[in-house]
Order: sequence, then structure tokens, then C-alpha cells
Amino acid sequence: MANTSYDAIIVGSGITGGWAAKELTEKGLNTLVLEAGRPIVPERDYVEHKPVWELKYRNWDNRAERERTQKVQRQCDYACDEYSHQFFVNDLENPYQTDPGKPFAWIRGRQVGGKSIIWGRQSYRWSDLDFEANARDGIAVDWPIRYADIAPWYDYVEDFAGISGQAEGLPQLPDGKFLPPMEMTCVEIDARDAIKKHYGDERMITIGRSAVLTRTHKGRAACHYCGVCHRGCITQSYFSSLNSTLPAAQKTGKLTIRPYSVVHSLVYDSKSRRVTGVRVVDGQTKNNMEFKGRIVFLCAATLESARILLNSATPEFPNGLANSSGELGHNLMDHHMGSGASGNMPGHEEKTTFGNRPNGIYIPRYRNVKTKHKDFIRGYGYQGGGGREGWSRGYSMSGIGVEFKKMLKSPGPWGMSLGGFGESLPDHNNYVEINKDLVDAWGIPTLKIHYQWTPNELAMSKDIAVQAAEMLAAVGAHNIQVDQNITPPGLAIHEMGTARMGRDPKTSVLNEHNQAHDAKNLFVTDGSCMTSASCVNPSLTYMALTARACDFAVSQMKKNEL
Amino acid sequence: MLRRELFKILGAGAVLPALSPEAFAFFQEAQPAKSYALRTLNPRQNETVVAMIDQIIPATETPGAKGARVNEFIDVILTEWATEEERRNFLDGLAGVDEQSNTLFGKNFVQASTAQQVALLQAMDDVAMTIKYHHVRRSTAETEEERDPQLRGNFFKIFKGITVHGYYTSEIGFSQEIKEQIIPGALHGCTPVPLEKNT
Repeated sequence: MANTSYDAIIVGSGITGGWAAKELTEKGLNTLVLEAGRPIVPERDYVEHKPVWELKYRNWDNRAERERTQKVQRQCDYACDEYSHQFFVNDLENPYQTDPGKPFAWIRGRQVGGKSIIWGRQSYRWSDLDFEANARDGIAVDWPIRYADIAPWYDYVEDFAGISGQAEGLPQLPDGKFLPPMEMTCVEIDARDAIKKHYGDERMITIGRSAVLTRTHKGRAACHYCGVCHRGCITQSYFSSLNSTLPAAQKTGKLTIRPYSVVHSLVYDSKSRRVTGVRVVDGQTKNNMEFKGRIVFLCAATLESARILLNSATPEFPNGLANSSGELGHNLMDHHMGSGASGNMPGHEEKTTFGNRPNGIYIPRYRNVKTKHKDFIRGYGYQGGGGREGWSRGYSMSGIGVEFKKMLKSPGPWGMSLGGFGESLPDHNNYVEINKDLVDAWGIPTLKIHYQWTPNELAMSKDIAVQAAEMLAAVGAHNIQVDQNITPPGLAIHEMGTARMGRDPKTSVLNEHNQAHDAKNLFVTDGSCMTSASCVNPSLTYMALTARACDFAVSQMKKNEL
Repeated sequence: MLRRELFKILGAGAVLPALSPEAFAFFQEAQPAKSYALRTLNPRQNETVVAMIDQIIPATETPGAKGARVNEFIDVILTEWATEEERRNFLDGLAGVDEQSNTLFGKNFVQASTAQQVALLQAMDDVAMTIKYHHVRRSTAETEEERDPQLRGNFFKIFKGITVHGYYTSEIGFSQEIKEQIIPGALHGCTPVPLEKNT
């Protein structure tokens, strides 16, 4: 009979579950990690060095199969392909609903490591511009923390994860503890200098801050620039749970990972007002099981954690566990993408790039930093990059024959592109609810997602396109193509906000320590805890909040407060 | 298996940049040259396809699309990947090449002289490359056709696209012709174009 009682149970093994596992085991807790999906064996499952000619469809993918089983997932076009589709869920097993005409792309990875295998690795700190935003604008609720509360924890997680980047001294994008930055390309350097000349202190280009090692770090090898991190990394050169936190947790001897453990709901004891256990459906046998823990960390990702709590309703909490505020499942946010511009860059005919850099450049937020924009609040940043076109320009390049082949052998024109990531606002009307009439492959009721961009995001999206084109013109680009578009929510895979932190239990689900107002041994540290969305990629903040919450939880346990 | 063992060792020692492309090539599991039986293209269609890809990407100091057996990739895609409509359109387009060749030169494409073949393909290319296609990203594409547009639109654009893709994703195109490396082992943002690529 396997052990069913632990000091701590963590639901999920992705970015935050991995951190919780490391922190809680290193602090001595006997810890169980429940992962809904299968185990991953890097030597077998990573495919980053598999030559494309070994793929039957040469990365055009098994189209019919993908359309049938991963219609939603394959919208994640940078990663859900012939190489990496196995790191995304089967949509047939994991249904959900949306309102007609209001799509939401719910991109999920169920395996040990979760989405940390396929994440984009961009790692930026929030600033007080973000933590004070709701209070300043008078919307939603105020964050219960400020930059000073989280800064030491950014230091802590960066030190372990290894973030490469360039310190710039910007108040809206605080510097971290960086490994050496990756090199910019010839045209990125030109663009950086031109932006500085044209916009002064208002705008700038820096190299992306990325959880990819530029030198050996804590026993993990430096990047070898194969450039396709989302297919895995046998040298563990980018941060993922599998490459970093779970091995650290395993070293303590205190960790049990149980794959194929689909969490149905949490068990709540109304007398002690505590969560006492976790109900699990075995992913393979579909048997029901229960595990007991003194504390529970929900790290299942924003929508999944909300779903688990909503499915854990009790007579005392008829609308979902820890939902006395009525905010559980509400205030869903994601970053909006789709607007930007691209163009060709002059010069440097005799120069090129070497190596496949798994990173780009970053233009930090400049809107509503020092001045107020007339059409929208908050702001956006750009990710982008400049390089020379490769052989794929041959699809649309005139010519055939020896000359055509010769042209494609040499690098093509220099190009530069910028794509915006914009902040979205918390809105009570963007929410999820349980649909009891539709269950997943394990018999668990599913979500209905209601989401619509607010006018603020639509106005911002227009500005993103216009300013991208203006900046490319300012740096000397030609053939500028402008994209004014807004992707369906969900696709940035930065969904957050369904169990927000706040000071007041009447208007928020979690307190300043990611602890449920309604059940003090329950912590939620994935994206669902977010009170606003900022415009920077959120994973680094999730890591810092998780480590901080673990520290608090264990200190409370030691004081017998939990 | 060898390659994976190698990386296990390298992962601990962080000496990857020292790995030369030659050493890496040694560890690459060589693909056995399996014989492939065509499933969609009949012998005549295949001859036409081979003649066309040979003119689009001919053998030079490296083998061309014919040597890289791009016709077999095309047959895989037509058999397993294409929708019925896309397959029919492709084969109709292929028949159209022979029709045009007969109209212009009084013989099928494969029987035409090299100069005639090039002239016909060049004329088709001139038309195909002037058509502007609005590229829809898979992330915002609403229909299956928009998500997988490779076999939609002008026949020659499709044909050239699949030839280019099949060639440069073959071992010959990728390793011999373009001299790409799966593991570059270093990063240089702004570096001279290497001699062998400076054409």
C-alpha cells in the first residue's frame, strides 16, 4: 500500500509546481507532486537534435491527426508541431466550451514538467508601475504587495534559474541578477542605436532576458544554440522543471512525483476550516483515490487551478472552495498579441549571424510610463529580432535553376520584426464557470470560458501596430509590412487572474502570501493569483511568488500556525 | 543511441562547443536509403515531377532535388497529407504542364529539350511569383485551409514551394548544400559571411 499522507501536496509539476517542490522539500517537508500527465524521459522524449529529414512530413506535421486531436493546441504555432505536439494535451480528452464568436485558446501541457518544457523563456521583473497600477487607475483591487516585497525573491529565483540579459537601469523594468547577455545581430545593433538617437530616453532596445544559460550555471551546461528549446534540451541549458527544480527536489529524498494523477477536487473539512486532502482520478486506470496533506499548493496553471476549486464546492462554499468573495474564476486575463510590423534592413551585406539564438530583442514599455496616453491606460512591450532570411525565402523568390539554387545558398536580405505584447485589464465579466454537462476523459466537469478583450486592449493594439511601423521607419527599414491584428485570448499562454490576491477577503481569493483567505493551509501560486497582468511575460513572477509563498508556509508551520 | 549517450556526458561537462561538425556528423544516426514505392504519382506523373524538380533545383557541385528524391516527399504529401481536393488540383496542374508543353512544343514535358523545359517553367514562375498571398498565421487562421495553405493557390507556386521545402529539409539540402548545423555550438550576432556561403 503506497503512502497516502504527506506534509505537503502540490498539484502540478510545471513552472510553479516545480518551484514549490524544490522549496518545500529543501525545507524538509515530505512532499507529493500530483501530475495529471505522463512522465517524461529526456533521453527518449526530447527531440531537439532530431534532423528534420527524419520527420515523415518534414515538420509540415501529420495534418489530419493534428486537426482531429489537437485543433486548439496547434494554434500555438511556435511549438505545437511535428516535433513537439506530444508536449500538448489531446483536445478530445480535454474539452471546454466558449461563447459563440468569442474564442479562447486554452493551450495546455500535461506531463511531468508541464508547459515549462515548451515555454518561451522570456523572464522579466515587474515593477511598482505594475503593482500600483490597479490602485492608481481605480480598477479591480489593489495588489497586496509591492516591488520591495518580491524583489529578494526575484533575486532568489534568478540566481537558481539562470537568466541571461543586460542591465539597463530602467524603473519600469528592473534589472535582475543576469548571466552574460546574448549577442545582438548587426541590424539589431543599428536599430538600438537609431532608436536611442530618435527617441532619446523614451524608448530603447535591449537583448531579451531569457532563462537560457550563456555559461555553465549550477551544474547545467551553457546553451549550444541549436535554437529549438521547446523540443527539449538534453544539456539542461534552459530553465524548466525537468531541467532544474525537480532534480533539485529529488536530491532531498523528500519528493514523490505521481504522474497520471488527474486532480478532481480538494477535500475541505468545515470544522477545522482546512483542506485535508486531494481527490485524484488515476489517469490510466480511472480509479478514484485520495491523498492527505497538511498543506496543499495548487500549481496546476490558472484555468486548471480555478477549475479544481470550482469543482470542490461544499455546502459552506456552494460556488467553489475558497470562494466566499465570489471572485474565484473571474478576472481572467491574457496578454494580447498580433500587432506589430516587419521590414528589411539596409547594409551589412558581408555580415551574417552564426548559431540559432533562442531569444530576441525587447523594447520595454514606454506608454503611460512618464506621460499619459489619450486612448488607453497601461502599456505594451515588443519582442522581435533582426536577422538574414534563409532558404525558405525560396517559396516566394523568383527564379529557377542553378542561379536560384546559388542564391538560396547565400544568406538572404536582412529583416527586422517587432511584435507587441499588451497588458489586459482585469474584468469581472471575463470568467470561467463549471459546465457539469460536459466532462473530460476522466469524468471531471469541464470549464466554460467567457472572455472578450476590453476596449482598452483594442485601442492599445492599434497603437502597437502604428508605433512598430514608425520605429522601423526610424531605424531605416524599408518594405515595411504592418500587422494590425489581435489574437484570440489565451494564445499568449499568459492566462492569469482567476484567484486573485488582495487585502480584503470580500473581494479577493488569496492574501499577500498566496494563501486562501478561506482556508489557511491552501496556497495557490500559479498565474491564477495575479491581480493585474502587467505587459511583461509572467513566469518569472510566478516563480518568485511561489518561492516566497513556500517560505511563508513553512515558517507558519514551524510556528504551528498552519 | 550513441548520440544520446554522448550528450549525457556532455551535459555534465559543458564542453559542447568543442564538438566539431564532423564529430557530430559521425554520431548522427544515418538514415538507411530505404526504397520507396510511389503511392499516388503514376510512372508518367512521376517522370514529369522528376523532370520539373530537376530544373527548379538542379545538381551542381551538390546533388539537386532529383538526387534528394524530392519526388518521393511529394508523393508522401500527396498521399497522406493533401485533402482530396488539393490532390486532385495538384495532379490536374501536373497534367496542365504536359498540355502546355504539347501546345508550345508539340511534345510532353519530359520529352521537351532542356531549353524548352526551362522556358516553360520560367514562364509559369513569372506568373506564380507575382501573385500576392495574404499569409495567415496558424494562430489566427480560422479554417483548416488557412492553417495549412501549402497546397492552395497557383499550381506552380505550390509545386515550387514543395520542391524547395523538400530539398532544403533533406539531408543533402540541409547538410551538403546549405551546410547548416543542427548544433552550432556558439553564437555570433554579427560575423562575416563564411566563404562557402558567399556566392
